[in-house]
Amino acid sequence: MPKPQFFSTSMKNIAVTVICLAAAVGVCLILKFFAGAVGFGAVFLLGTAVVAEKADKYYGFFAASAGAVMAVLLKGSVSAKDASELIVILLAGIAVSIIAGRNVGTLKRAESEKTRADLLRLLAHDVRTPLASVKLSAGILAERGEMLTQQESAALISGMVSSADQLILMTENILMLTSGKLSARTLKKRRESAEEIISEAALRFRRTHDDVAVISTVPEDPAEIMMDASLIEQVMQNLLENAAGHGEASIIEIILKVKNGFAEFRFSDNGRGISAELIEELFAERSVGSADTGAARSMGVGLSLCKTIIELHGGSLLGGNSDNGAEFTFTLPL
Amino acid sequence: MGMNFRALIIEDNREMACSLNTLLKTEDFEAEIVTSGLEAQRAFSSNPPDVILLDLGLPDMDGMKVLTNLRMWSSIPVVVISGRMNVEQKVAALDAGADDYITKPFSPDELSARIRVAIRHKAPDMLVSHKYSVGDLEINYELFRVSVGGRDVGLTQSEFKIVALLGKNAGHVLTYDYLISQLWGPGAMGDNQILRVNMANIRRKIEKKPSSPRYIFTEVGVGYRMATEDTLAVEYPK
Repeated sequence: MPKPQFFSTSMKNIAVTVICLAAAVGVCLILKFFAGAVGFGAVFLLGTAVVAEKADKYYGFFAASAGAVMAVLLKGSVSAKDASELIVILLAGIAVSIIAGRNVGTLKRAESEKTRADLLRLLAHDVRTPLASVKLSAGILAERGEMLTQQESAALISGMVSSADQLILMTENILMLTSGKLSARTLKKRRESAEEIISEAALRFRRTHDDVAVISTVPEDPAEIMMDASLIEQVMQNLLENAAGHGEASIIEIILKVKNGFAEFRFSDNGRGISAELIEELFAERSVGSADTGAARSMGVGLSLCKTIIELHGGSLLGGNSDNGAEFTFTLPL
Repeated sequence: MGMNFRALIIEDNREMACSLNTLLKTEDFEAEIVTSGLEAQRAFSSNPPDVILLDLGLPDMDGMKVLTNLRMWSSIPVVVISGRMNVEQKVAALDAGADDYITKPFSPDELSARIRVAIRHKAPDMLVSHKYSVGDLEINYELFRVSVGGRDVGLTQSEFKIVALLGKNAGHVLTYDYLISQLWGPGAMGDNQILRVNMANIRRKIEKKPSSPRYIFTEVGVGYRMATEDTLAVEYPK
């Protein structure tokens, strides 16, 4: 059962701090150093640095302060010399925390910069190619139309329509990514009927893809779920578009089940299926866009957005292949 | 009616692949479409095409790997399709052996011209002739003379070498590094200043309006390209 991101990070940090402090004290006891400030200080600073590096600098400060307090308590009485030594250790601890903590921050920032850059490149490609395709097709029809058969012209025109649909979806994905709605703090959940969201998404999709059958199956008492309806609908649009576009499916089934306190939405199609790399990518925590094949790359941005939205809601997104085609399942907590 | 030319299209977007296919058909090409590097390798091993169109798409090196592998055993002309801002990608592709590139979005005529140049350049029976002319410009390789409208424009030795290289590869882009290393040796690469200065002088001598060049195009960040008859820009009406 996936936990919301926020809690797991804090708990991890607290655990790291406690373990490091305990280890520092343990080592001091073993080496019987806490009578000497230097020995104690050295071991203790090492512990603080580790805390700051693994968690962040604020936990490091806490560790430094806690260590200083513990030293006082363990000694029982404090002379002026002890007090000044302790203050030095405390200040050193704080300095070490800041240095160690900053490096971590930079590393984290660099990693997320790279992910952002990769995402932007993917987005640029996903927007440029359909646009270029529309321009090229229009140019061919306008300048060389008389050289084409009826069938070839029709194929170009239908391709232009598909490209436009891709662009519309991409634009909405981009707007969503940049809207600021995608954070735990700003997520606005309301009670929504799962059945209504599904039928709304299917209807919207069928309007622009009348050659694809979308069949939905919901239980007798369909669930009411806390969600941001527009975000979840966007997830469904992405899944449907992927099935029809990349997957070239003609039939998509949406099956809703209630299981173990979660609502499970399964999107099953009769298309080409998805590559092993994409399946792996959906399971892994790696940044999007590292899959090799063209189809997987193109799915990258939309699916990555879906994954983000679902995980924000406390659910999970999985994908794989069935006997007929591809199958994507996402869950939302009830 | 001779044998049709064959093209291999390496493109992951279905609609784009379809447009490219249709365009090539109007140029009397037969085209095969593949959507990944792996499929491409199989395709050009079993039935080598006359030209390859490769969409570089994303920087995950899939397109570049295909190109590098291909160039290990074949000199089939390759035109890569890339995005407009991706200068590094274009230069890397050209250095890896691509013959030319085209940036999205493009018109049917632009792509046709690039493909034709790419194929023509690789035709085995093409001998280097002793002159090249386009519009009013004529480059005489034997006499080391460049004239516009019959009048010798008086290029220096370096300036002539640059124009001659561009003329011998007319229609193709030549990267800054390639031109510099041909003229001043590989050690001089990396600083385009000397090339830019020479090009500014060349343009002053051969172009009616040096600020809107007709004969030599600048491909920003990549290099220079000499016009061919069908890509010669129309003269600005005075």
